[in-house]
Amino acid sequence: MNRVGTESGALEDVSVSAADAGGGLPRRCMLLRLAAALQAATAAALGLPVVRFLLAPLRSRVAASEWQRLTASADVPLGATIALKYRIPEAEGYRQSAADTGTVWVARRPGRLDAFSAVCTHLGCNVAWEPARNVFACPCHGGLFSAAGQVVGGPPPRPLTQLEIKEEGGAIWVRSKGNRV
Amino acid sequence: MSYLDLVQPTAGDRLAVRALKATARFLEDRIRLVSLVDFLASKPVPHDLNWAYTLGSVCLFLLANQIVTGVLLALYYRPAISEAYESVRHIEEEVTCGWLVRQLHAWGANLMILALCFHMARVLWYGSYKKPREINWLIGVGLLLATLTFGFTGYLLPWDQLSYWASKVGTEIPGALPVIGSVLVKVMRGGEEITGATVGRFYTLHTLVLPGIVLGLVFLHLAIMRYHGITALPGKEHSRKVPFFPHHVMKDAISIYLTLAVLYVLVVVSPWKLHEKADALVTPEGVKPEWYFLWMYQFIKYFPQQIGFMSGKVVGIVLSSGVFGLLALAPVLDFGEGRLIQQRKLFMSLALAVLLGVLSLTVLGYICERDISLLGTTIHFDIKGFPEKVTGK
Ligand code: HEM
Repeated sequence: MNRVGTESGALEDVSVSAADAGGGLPRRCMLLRLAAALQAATAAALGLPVVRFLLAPLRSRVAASEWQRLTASADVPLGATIALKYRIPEAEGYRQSAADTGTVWVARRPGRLDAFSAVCTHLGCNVAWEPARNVFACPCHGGLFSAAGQVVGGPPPRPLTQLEIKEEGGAIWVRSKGNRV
Repeated sequence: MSYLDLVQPTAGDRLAVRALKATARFLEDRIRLVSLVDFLASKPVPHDLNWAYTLGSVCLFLLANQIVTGVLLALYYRPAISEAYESVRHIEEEVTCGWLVRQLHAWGANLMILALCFHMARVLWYGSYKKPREINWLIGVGLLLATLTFGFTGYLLPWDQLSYWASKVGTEIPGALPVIGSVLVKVMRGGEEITGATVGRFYTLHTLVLPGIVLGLVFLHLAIMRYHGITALPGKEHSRKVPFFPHHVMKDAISIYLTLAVLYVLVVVSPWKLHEKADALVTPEGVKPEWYFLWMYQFIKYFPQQIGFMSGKVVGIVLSSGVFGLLALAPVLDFGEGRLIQQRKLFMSLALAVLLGVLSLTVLGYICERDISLLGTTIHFDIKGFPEKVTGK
């Protein structure tokens, strides 16, 4: 540290000046700790807004959606399993988009009506109904779900996500339960 | 025995030092990092460098602020006229800390130009551009022009009424030049009018081209500065030298902390407003360029329509651009060897005259077409900045 007025060409003698400084004098030790604390406080004060800005998307939750009319009840006869589009509210930068980006499989069986999100619970590809095998099959990694949405083969960890569904005024309505589907 | 003697290095301190040393040795053995840092830190500088010598570091700090906040803004900003304004509004009003990031960028830009002017003034005042530093001075002039272009292109991006109309007028001005005028305007705008094409161009320049140019120039600027060593105060060439670190670094740090304080106070006390969204049909009152272009804008107003066979506007444009020419030529115009003011009387008078001219034009540009109230009297200034109407209490 006290190489006053010299060009440091000391390549052989590696003097680790910054590190040495902490060892010796108590006064220096104290000042160094003070300086380090000051720098750390400044860095934290400046860095915090940056981190919060970057993490802003974490604060925008997808709220439970409104009931959406999917189609007329007559379009899904008994025994049918058909795919329909539904709107997922999504914050896209400044814009609240509500594009028809969701696919929902609506299945009518005796005594029940189900709505499954098409999103495979493995890695998010869209599953397709295969009437011949009576399963929902995922084209990506071979996940298989039963007609009731339960995992029957492949890697998916969870059953297909279900949406709330109701029939009213001769039409089928769905609503997502809040978390991403 | 002072109380400081009671502070003994703790086991934690020793551990920290050991860890630091080990890391340093690891890096030194492989990429000679310690030697490099030592080389940079130990550069001897005159012990009596004053506060004006910290202005370059202030510029560097403000540049870093622009880069960090600019990258953050780019995450949400959309360079299209149907979305630009809405996306800036979203940043300002909805994104966490978005207002802070935007305001730091806007105020940082203004402070950076101010800091550049002061840094340049200090180099000029001490004649620090004299041999062998002429090339670094030219690189500096390049940095100034690039930074002004940063300001000009950035101003359009929020796509509000002021930014739209100021950019419209700003890109119109070169149109008066013969032959190349209309070509220049079209190239700048990407067409006849200010449109989405203009926003696209300005955005690309602002976020891709200019950062590349400025970072490259700054690297050269600092490398050459380190190579030559900083100039001593004129007449004190033989004063005692001290290593750059920690002596001068300490001074730099204090200036940077002060700048930081000023920046944050401005951001909080006087945030930049987002006006109404741009409307090509309605020109708002009092459209003026940013303060750092006011002097040019005002200067051009004083020329008559026609001077001989030339348009007055063209003469105005050429003469005001000439200021940058003079700046670039400073090392040539100020050719003597001496750096003391009394050895450069002629040149310093010229520099002072230009400076006063630019300053008065800036003031005139500010007050023109405005009502200024002072002590109960309101004065209206006309387009040339002359007082027009005086109304009492
Ligand atoms: C982004 C812009 C710039 C940065 C980051 C920057 C940075 C620096 C720094 C850190 C120094 C050394 C310390 C000091 O003198 O303050 C310096 C020196 C210098 N700067 Fe700049 N500068 C910038 C723009 C300019 C401009 C616009 C000019 C002039 C037109 C200029 C001309 C010079 C010269 C000639 C030196 C050498 C001075 C000497 O050796 O005494 N720089 N610059």
